[in-house]
Amino acid sequence: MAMQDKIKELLDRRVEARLGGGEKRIEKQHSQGKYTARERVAMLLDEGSFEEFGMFVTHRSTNFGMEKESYLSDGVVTGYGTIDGRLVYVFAQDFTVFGGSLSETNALKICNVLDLAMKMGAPVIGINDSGGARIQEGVNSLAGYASIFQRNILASGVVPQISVIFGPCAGGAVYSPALTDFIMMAKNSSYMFLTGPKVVKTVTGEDVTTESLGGAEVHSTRSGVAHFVAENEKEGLATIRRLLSYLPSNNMETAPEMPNNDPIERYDNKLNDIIPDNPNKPYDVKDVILGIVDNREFLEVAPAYAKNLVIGFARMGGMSVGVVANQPSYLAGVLDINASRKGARFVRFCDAFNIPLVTLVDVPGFLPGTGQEYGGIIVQGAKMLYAYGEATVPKVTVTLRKSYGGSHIVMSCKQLRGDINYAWPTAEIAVMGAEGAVEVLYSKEIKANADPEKQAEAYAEKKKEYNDLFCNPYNAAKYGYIDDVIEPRNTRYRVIKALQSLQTKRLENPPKKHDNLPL
Amino acid sequence: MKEYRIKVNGTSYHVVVEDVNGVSAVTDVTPTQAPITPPPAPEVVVAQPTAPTPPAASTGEGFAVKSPLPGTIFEMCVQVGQKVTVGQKLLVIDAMKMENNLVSEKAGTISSINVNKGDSVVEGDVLMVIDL
Repeated sequence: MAMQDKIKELLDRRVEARLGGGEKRIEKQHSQGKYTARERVAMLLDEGSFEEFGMFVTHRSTNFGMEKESYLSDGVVTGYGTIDGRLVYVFAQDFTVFGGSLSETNALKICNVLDLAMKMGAPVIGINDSGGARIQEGVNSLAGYASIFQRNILASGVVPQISVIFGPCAGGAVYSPALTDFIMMAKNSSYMFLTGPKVVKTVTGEDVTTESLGGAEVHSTRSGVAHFVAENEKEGLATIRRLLSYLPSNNMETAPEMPNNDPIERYDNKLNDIIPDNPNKPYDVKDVILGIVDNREFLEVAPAYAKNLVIGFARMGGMSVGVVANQPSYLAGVLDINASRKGARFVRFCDAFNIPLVTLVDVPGFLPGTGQEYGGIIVQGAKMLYAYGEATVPKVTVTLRKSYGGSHIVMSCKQLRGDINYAWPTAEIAVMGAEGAVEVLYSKEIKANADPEKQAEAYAEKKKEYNDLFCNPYNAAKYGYIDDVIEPRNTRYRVIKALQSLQTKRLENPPKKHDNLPL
Repeated sequence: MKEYRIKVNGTSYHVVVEDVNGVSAVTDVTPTQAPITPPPAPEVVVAQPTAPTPPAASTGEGFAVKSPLPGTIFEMCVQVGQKVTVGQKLLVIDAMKMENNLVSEKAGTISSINVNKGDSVVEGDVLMVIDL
């Protein structure tokens, strides 16, 4: 064969590979409002930056007549490219080839990019759109999943791993996304579950649809599995690009610092009025977050799940930070099981990837009740406590208002190695609220007086005494638990200065095989 | 799902308890076909919270507004028969040192209200039902 013919053969093979499962199936994918694997990769990466691996890989199965049907690339597109000029690895399952099912060779391709990502210290983004295991390959397909999981586990905390679900992701396949750091789902087209509606029906008798069992809404509001939900694929991939801008490429680096045109000394005068005069009235803590971060830009993580705790990424003075804030306007901002789990995982992610933590505290306590206790709030709340205590990244805390009891401790207090702890003049830092405290301390004494009017008077007097003594920032500041009481409108400047001073922070935990956090 | 036989004041109850994962504290009122037939029980009684469960909740059309946390009803903002929209304030619960606004997740008409100002509620109590 002449050289020219050989080159032509290569080009023909490339064309064939790019067609995946063929034009008909591509059309079907498009008709469902879904893009193909290669289209998704192109949208995700910087234009023209994608370099593909394993385009000519085909499956090896000969069971059930599989030898008669095979497609180049074998149902997964893998390779590397850049996002904002930074190296990332990608794999995208191709639903047009055997429903994106996972085969032995297709798993090898995914493992290959995971291995490379770890060696090079670059993030991995997996776009999932797969019916599950390729049944014809039997146990080889299972081995494929296991090999991927093992790499996800080893890569955890080494490079950021992001899973995008743009179609089905069912059965064992869900565990690869579950092991990764962030999960993105698209509305109406993606679903995740361990066992599908049919199995659920036979086993428990429940009638559920794929959407109500494992759709984007369920996972972003009830289970907390999905961190981001996109209206459509394009928006979803844009969010992933934005997310990566806040993250370092690996655990040995810090997140890229962006040029910042928002003056660090900018006052936000509204913050001086944001706390209502009645301490029992809620306000939106997101207004505080937006008021102090660069250009009011905040990428909230899991915004619809455990809304009593707000988490997300922002920049302050150009530096990437992880923000954790109690939300008084939802469930009074209590810490409950879901909020604790959500917060703990986020704090641990930030710590693993050298992202400083800014914690805004307005927490009345842990949520009481049997539901919480039976659900193990002791252990779940301990996760949050553990995460903050273990974190060695710079930690700046601002107590906006309430900070009571156990929840005060959990929210990055001084003794959990909070580096710089500020409080607003509206802060109330105490072991419990005045009502409860007076009840415990004085109820006998007060009830000795039979006159109800006198009793009420005495209660009011004791409450005032307690509030004056404890429900302010100065008592904590007196003991050095608060480094300074700051004017709310100047919070941005004070926090950025604190973060700048902490850039050279060095702190190491004792050597150990690994920790044993209360899972 | 777990099943218990409980004896209260000499009366035996067969109680089915669904898992509570902290999100929804009350089992769905809609009866679902049990797949595994339980051994014949003397009588089957569905456990009810102290507040009477509104009949509308079982029609499937009513949306039960449940208390998200334990507290005291501080203020009622709607009445039976009133039309409500998504995001409208339904009531205020005084809990955890906070006057918590409970806003409507659904649009519809209030078909029943089970609580009054000053009542104590626990997580999962059905406070009112909205006909969708």
